[in-house]
Amino acid sequence: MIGVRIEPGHAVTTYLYTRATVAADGTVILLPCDAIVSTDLLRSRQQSGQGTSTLTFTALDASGAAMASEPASFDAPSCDAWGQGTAVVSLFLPVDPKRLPVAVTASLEGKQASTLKLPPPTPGDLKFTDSPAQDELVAGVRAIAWMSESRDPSDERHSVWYTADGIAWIPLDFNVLDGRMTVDFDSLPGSKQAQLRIAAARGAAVSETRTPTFVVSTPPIRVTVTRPAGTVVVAPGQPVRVEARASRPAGGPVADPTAYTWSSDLDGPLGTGWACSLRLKQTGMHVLSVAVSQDGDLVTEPAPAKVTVTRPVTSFVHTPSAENTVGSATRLAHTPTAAERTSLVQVTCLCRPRDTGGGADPQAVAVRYADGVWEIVRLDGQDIFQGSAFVVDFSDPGPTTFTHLSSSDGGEAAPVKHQLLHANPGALLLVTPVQPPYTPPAPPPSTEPIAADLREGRWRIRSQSAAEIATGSAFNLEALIPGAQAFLHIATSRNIRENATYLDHPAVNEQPAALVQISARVDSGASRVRNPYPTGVWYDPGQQRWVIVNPGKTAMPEGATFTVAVSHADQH
Amino acid sequence: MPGRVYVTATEVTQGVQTYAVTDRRVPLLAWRRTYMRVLVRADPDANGDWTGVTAQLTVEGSRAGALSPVNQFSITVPATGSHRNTLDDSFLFELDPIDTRDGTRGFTVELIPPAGRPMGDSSGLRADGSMTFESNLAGLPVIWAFYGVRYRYVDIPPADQVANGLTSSTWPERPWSDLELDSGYAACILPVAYLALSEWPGNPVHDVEWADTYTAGRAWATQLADMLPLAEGEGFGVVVLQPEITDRYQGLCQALGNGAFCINYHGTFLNGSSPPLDYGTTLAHELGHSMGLCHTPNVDATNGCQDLSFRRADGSVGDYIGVGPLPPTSYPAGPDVFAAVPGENPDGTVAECDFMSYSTVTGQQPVRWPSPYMYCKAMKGSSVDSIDPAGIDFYAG
Repeated sequence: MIGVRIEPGHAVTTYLYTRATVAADGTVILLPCDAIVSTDLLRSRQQSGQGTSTLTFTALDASGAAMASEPASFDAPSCDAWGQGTAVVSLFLPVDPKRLPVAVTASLEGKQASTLKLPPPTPGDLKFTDSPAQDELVAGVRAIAWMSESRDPSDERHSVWYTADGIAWIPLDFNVLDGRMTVDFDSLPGSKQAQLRIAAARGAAVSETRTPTFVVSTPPIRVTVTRPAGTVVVAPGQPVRVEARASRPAGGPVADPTAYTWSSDLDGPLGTGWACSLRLKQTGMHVLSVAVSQDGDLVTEPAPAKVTVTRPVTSFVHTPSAENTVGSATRLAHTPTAAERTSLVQVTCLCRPRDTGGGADPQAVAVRYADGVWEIVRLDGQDIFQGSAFVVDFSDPGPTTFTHLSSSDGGEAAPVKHQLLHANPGALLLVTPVQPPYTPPAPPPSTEPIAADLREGRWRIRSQSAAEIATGSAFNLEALIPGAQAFLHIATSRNIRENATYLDHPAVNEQPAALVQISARVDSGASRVRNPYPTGVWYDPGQQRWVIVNPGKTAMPEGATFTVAVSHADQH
Repeated sequence: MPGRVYVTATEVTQGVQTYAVTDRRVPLLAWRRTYMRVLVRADPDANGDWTGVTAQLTVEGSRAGALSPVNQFSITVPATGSHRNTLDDSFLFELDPIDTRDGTRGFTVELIPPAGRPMGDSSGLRADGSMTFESNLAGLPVIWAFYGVRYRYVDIPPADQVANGLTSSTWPERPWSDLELDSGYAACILPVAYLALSEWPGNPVHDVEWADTYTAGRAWATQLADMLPLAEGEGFGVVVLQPEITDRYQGLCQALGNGAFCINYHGTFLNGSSPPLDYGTTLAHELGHSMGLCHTPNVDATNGCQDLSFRRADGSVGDYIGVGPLPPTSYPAGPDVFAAVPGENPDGTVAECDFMSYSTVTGQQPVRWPSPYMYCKAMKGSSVDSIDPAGIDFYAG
């Protein structure tokens, strides 16, 4: 079997294929053949025969003049109609065989010859039945359809092409069976002179039809965000995998990783690359997006999935009782994580002062680990108030929850180093004194109420009463970025009522079931107001607001500042 | 006497790495997903086990600051030292991508014991090192690019519809997202910075007559690939995802005359005839062929070329340990689930086969991870010889 591929010089994307058989007497017969499938398939058939004979192919124009001639070697004796001896020869023509008559002859060692005249073209037998109209703006996925007026369309092979400039045609599909195709126009180069072309081949005959010019408006860069997918809930600082791919329609992928910049609507710019692990800081629902820039073009694409960042805490209310309380300590046997000595525990008094109709004043407390259980202990050594309660947050050590140990230069203030807090004046800090569960034991927690202090870019834990903090004193910290679950509250004349300051924030307003943690700060404004008293929280149902309270009738000073963090029962 | 915790080894890996006891290192590709493993050990004391120990990684010049572990924030450090076969008693970090750009840079790992716990010798809390990332000759990331296409079967006879659980005469194409998932998983296995999947212009979905079988779909994709302009350098081609999903693996990679490749493959169920799918294993195997890899010697030669330099006759990975976001069942969505992929079980039996074998371990999900040998050999192909791992033959052992 001999394959002949004819490649006209000015229409290199179209080629024909015929074959020859050689009879036992050496007679060469050229036959019409199937349309070529691919050059690779041709090559795959180029099994070398033993090459005992040479067949010469010659392409002739209408006058019989030779345009090109090439030899092909094969093993003639073993050949039959679909025999093993195979050779392929290419004839490169100066004319388009679709438009001008062409014949091919084959001769064996100059003795025998056979001639195949390519059938004349049959133009005009195709027409679109559903296609873009003149000057129509086309975008997205759209079906196109066409029909052949041929008497036997099943013998035809249709191909679909697209051009943005009327010169270069991009193949969209081959061997289409039923005269229809769905085209994603967003993946094609944009153009105001776009056209589609259908080409039909039947043996050597080719016909075609084209749409009028229409408009395809596509972004210069097409971006798809593939991750994150589904619902993603993470803690602050926990990595979130993001991946995107970008390409120029028909121009290949955007391969420069520095062209991809990721950001969050809440946190701002976050990272660079096709794919990276982002660490979100602010609690709340983040919309992630990637901006891809190349050659002056910039396209921003949001991720389909939103990422919720939530505090990594398990929260509940602990109520001291005769069963769990002895003297100044009340044991937290409530939560299954209570037995983990590496857990981080934050505590806030949940108490309505007696003089406002409640049962207990706030108490300065710390946490410690004893006999396999965490417990809350009053710093002044007095008995836990009957009728009091505590909001408790448990968490594992993590990027935002950690224990801080005061160092030798602590003095009144213990410096804190943490990635989330570094050079971040907007950060917030929850603080609870803790006695680490190791021997020899660390110094007992300071008996004074403490506060976080941000000064000159450095965070410190400070005693509200200016008492010295012993080296080795420990504090459980949770670093927060203001958001849906954390905010800063400043007591002002508008929200202070005697010993209380009323919170006003969507996260807690009209939320009696919210679990509210607070910690004092002493760095707000120039006054550096200190409020050296134990504080607590309670919900005022009349005002439908949460309240931060001082003990008894101790007035709440203007300027007193608090970090407020919010969670809900059994969160996480 | 206070106890202590200390670093015993660090290992920078992009999927597979050699033991630290050797001088060989699998080269690191710039901009490829990169992990650092930190193996640790503890000397216990009266306070018991060293629980709640965490660590942080700082890369020289990094804007990311100190990184936290991605496998688990804190661990109990074993007195016998971390097991290399697992990730639960060591630390795993993932580098910020921009810190994997071309060049050499230092790193520091610091262990952070629980606050307040007395500590003896603290010299082992810190470990320093450096790592070098390589690009191709043009200084660009190593990229392997291909167009994805799909087709559907039409005119399926009623009897074949029943046999294949179909409800109409059409077997629809697989969703595009499946190609993305396959590509994403294959990128974890192959030595490329970026496995670039693009839609063929127009994103065609071809109709294939049922009677013509998948070979017609493959021929169609080959025709598309044949139309790609001749290109030099890193790979490019067409991958056609077939509609079928079976319990068998099937795929083929053809090299074409214009330098492109054409791959056809179908989906495979993990462990039987129901979801989940084994995302990406077959695609990684076929793309391995496109990078010039042959099969391990235990694959019959009738299925294609054999790499007789691969010395393990059973096609197994050997005593190397991979790291990746695994298993495939967890890959598609949500946070990464990281896993170590040991080539051998603690008793020396085979735990994983090379991705260029046909072998799977009985009763185990066919993860099929790359051996250092195949990975490095593919690296020569994917980087067009611009990165030439020294001593590839060494890894064959």
